Amino acid sequence: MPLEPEFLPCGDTGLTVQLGDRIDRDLSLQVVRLGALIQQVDLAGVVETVPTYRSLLIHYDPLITSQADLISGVHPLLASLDTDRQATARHWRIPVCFEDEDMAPELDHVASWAGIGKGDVVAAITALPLHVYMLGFAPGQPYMGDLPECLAIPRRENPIPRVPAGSVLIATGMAVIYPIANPTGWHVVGRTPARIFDSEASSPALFAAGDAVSLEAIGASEYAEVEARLTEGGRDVLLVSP
Amino acid sequence: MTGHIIVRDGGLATTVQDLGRPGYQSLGLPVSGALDPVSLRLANTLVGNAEGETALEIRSLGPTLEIEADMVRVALAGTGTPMEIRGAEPRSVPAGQSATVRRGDILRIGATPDTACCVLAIAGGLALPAAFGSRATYLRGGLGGFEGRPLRPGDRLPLANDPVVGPERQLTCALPHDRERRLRVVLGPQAGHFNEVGIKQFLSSRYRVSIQSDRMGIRLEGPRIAHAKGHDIASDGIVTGAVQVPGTGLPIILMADRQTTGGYPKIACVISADLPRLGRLQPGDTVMFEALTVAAAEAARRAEESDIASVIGAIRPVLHGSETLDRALMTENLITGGEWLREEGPGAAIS
Repeated sequence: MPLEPEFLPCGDTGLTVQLGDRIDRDLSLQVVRLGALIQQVDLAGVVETVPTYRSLLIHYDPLITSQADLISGVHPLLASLDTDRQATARHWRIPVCFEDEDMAPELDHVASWAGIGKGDVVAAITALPLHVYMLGFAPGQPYMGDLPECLAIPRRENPIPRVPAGSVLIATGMAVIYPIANPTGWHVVGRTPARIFDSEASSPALFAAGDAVSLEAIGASEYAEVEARLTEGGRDVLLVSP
Repeated sequence: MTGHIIVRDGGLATTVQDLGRPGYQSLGLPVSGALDPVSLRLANTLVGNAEGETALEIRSLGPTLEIEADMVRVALAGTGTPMEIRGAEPRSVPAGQSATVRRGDILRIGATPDTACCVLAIAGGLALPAAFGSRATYLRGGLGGFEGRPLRPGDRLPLANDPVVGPERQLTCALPHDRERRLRVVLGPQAGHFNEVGIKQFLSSRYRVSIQSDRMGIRLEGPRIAHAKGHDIASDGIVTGAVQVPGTGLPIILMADRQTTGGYPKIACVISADLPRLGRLQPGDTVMFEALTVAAAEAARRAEESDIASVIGAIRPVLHGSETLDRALMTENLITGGEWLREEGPGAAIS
């Protein structure tokens, strides 16, 4: 598939290579592939690359290279972006409590925005395994999709300053899990006791782009018990298939 | 012998920082590091460290520290506030000059009304574990630095075991600072989400730094910027200095502890040469923006680096009052920037 990428400047330290204008699994795999290729050819001055849904941000050192040189270096790599799925993709099941007012403060708001019942929102979120498109925002935080069209609620106009770690949030047809407390422009619909980032672990982020994630509803009364089981059993408890 | 610095008072939000932890943003791990990396480099150079060594970043109100080591070289940079040293030899040492403190001395840095951040460097740095290749504190993640948090009374910061070598040193010239100068930006990556009116609004308005600003971002107050294509994009990568405009139309400039990716459109990015000045902005300060091309921004960064190299190259040993008259005269000329010193090279003779 011939690509007509856009090169978008991010000041004098970043270059966004945008491969398309939509959220699409093949496109996101091409983005990951481009990042790997750039690493392989070892372009001078590249600090690191950050893959997202449809674009790759190249962080660069302007004292070593220039955006113009980077563009010439990246251009030839765009011809050969395959979309092979990584053999390492895994399937996780993540327990989420959608019940408690404190854990799911905006479930009501999302339900009334969608014009369906709260139970229908939970059913829609948990119906199918979600695809991890990318990690971003905070350590190990997965961006997962696709939720049904009826849940494509826009982000907030104004981000709120803090939601707790473990929050499960939705916006724009996607779901995320917050590894740590952070501000957000998304809507909190649940909370998980699973730890998705552990800086002591050999691979600190639980998820990787390409993984599948099934969100499974648990009751507020069993939250503490599930949390204890996860602490004891470690990450393997969360694996559906290797 | 292992020495420590004991925290008597942590100040407002003093954290351990270095030049950050690039390389893990694809896992969602922010870069962190000093808000004013130039002051970190200068302070470290003054105590004889590598430029990027671990140091303490001070926010608006400094810490009070007790020295529990035979001899430690320290230096403050990025503020007009001096270091106050109490002990056998009480004195006040201006920022931009290193000082030798001894066991039992109390080192106090008071309020820094001229900046939101400055840096205290310690010879040899701090013997703290690195997280992902850096000792920078990432506050929201509770990672790096000293237990991933700001310093508190009673904290014992372990010193790396470096002997104090060479004379105390001082800066003899400063970076050209122009507080009135506009912050320079490159438009994009999502300038296309705004129409001409919105871009013009952004480039012609005066914005005020909100009290709701922190190491993650500086919120601005002022005229709202209208979006032409809504306030949602498919989340993409973010650089430090990116100016995102959420649905409120009020810009937020993303700083050292910023998220790695985000879904609000970014109208522009502050150029890297102006990031240190951005880090020093305090609530209530006002800013205006000026757009440059990418090539001009890259050239500005090279010019900035060459200015920093000149300032570092002009660092000279400190000459105290007890020195000979000749040396005292030379000091006077160094401080007032007397040209003959630099021209004729007595500086080289004493270094």
